[in-house]
Amino acid sequence: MKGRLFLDRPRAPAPRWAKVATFTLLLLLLSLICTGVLLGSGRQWQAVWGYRQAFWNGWLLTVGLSILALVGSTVIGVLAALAKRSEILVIRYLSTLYVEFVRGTPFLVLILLLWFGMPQITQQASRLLVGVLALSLFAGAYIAEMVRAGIESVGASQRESARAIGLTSLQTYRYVIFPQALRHILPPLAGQFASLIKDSSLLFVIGLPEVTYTAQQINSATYSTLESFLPLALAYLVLTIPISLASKVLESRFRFET
Amino acid sequence: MTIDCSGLAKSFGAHHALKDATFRTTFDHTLALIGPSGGGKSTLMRILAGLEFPDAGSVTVNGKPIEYTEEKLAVYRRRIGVVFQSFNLFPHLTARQNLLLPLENVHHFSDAASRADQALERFRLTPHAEKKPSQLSGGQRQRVAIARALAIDPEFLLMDEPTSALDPEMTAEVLDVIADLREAGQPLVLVTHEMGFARKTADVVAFVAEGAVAECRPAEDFFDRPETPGARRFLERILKY
Repeated sequence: MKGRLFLDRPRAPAPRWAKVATFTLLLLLLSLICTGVLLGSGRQWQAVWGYRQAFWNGWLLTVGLSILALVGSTVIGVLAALAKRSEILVIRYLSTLYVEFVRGTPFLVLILLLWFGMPQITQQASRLLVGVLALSLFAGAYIAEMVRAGIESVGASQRESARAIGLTSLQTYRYVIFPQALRHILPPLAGQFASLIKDSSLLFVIGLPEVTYTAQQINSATYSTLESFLPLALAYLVLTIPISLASKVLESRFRFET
Repeated sequence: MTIDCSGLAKSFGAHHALKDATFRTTFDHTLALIGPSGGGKSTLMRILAGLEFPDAGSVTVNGKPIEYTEEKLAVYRRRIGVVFQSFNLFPHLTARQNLLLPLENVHHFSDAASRADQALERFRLTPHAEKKPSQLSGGQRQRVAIARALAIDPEFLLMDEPTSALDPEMTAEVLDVIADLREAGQPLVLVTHEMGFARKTADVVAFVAEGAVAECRPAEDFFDRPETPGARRFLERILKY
């Protein structure tokens, strides 16, 4: 092999046969390993299969939870980004405080804080509510920064142009800034949504019966670790891979040169 | 058209862009603002366009004083058309959508679509109507910007160095359009570096230097017999090459 591991210049395109050969070889190797692991002696697929309904329910809860938090975090993120651009100091500082607090705190700590803190204020807390709230607040802070950066990526000359033709500020955001900012926001936003789905797994600590929690229960019941957690990984992948594909499609739809 | 400015001043931090700009002029078609870079002509134009608040002084256009509050300016800006140096089209919209945006959302014309198509036709842009700015040449972009500013039937048109970001061939293309506007009787105020063009096209020239309007006279007079030493030096330097 004369290929170098790291390059300081654009690499030359690989020949087609090399791509096909490498891909096939890797696929073969991985299949061998997987087959060995999956069908090896002592695998108790039968035992785990009995819990498929519970697993499915857990997965559905993860999906529902993620969708709610996706909407919640987007609303929070956009509002926080707009607040950060406000002329009113209090609003601006509050937004900064929120973003910096959440970004500087581990998600696990935020979950625990909400789970044990909320009952002291509201007398009671539901796992689902705390879960959705924690996810929305956590992702919202990151989304706020993405939206802010996206808005700022639209040049001053565009705002001025919008002002000159007589658009109001609301119209300027709607017709000029957001459509252009979206191009910068979309790729990291898709990544954030994928993170949000993955982060929801941490909610198992408060006993929310989403898919990770369920997989753990199945593991405890059957002592079949790989058989419980490999499907778990797949359960997340079927959600996150379509998101990154969708983001690529959307990205090309919004593409235009400035 | 009549413009009456008195005692205009505008600072950006420690930089005094305009110190005391006072002039009064009446012209049929075209007023050209010329002068050295950094002399304050763009600031003057931006105040006339209602995009900048003066720190002091007053502006009266066609007998109506401009009130410098954001609400009043928003209304004032709807009556005029502004064309900038460059980058003033919306890159995510097609040429036609760029024209439609103010027609539909600011002016609420019921015949917005036909107005947009007429304006595109007038500037020979119909074949380019569905293109985005990145697919147009610099000259075509500037023609779209002019079409957008004119589609709303503005009282007058303000242009801030409309050709300075263009190469010579495209400059000629845009200057032709401006000359046509003059023929069509469209009143316009323009900041320009094209002295030959200013001399040929403008009725009146205002020479802006060091934050003040040093001279404001008919174009022929000004170019043949500049009165102030500053204007003489400026013209000599430019005509040297």
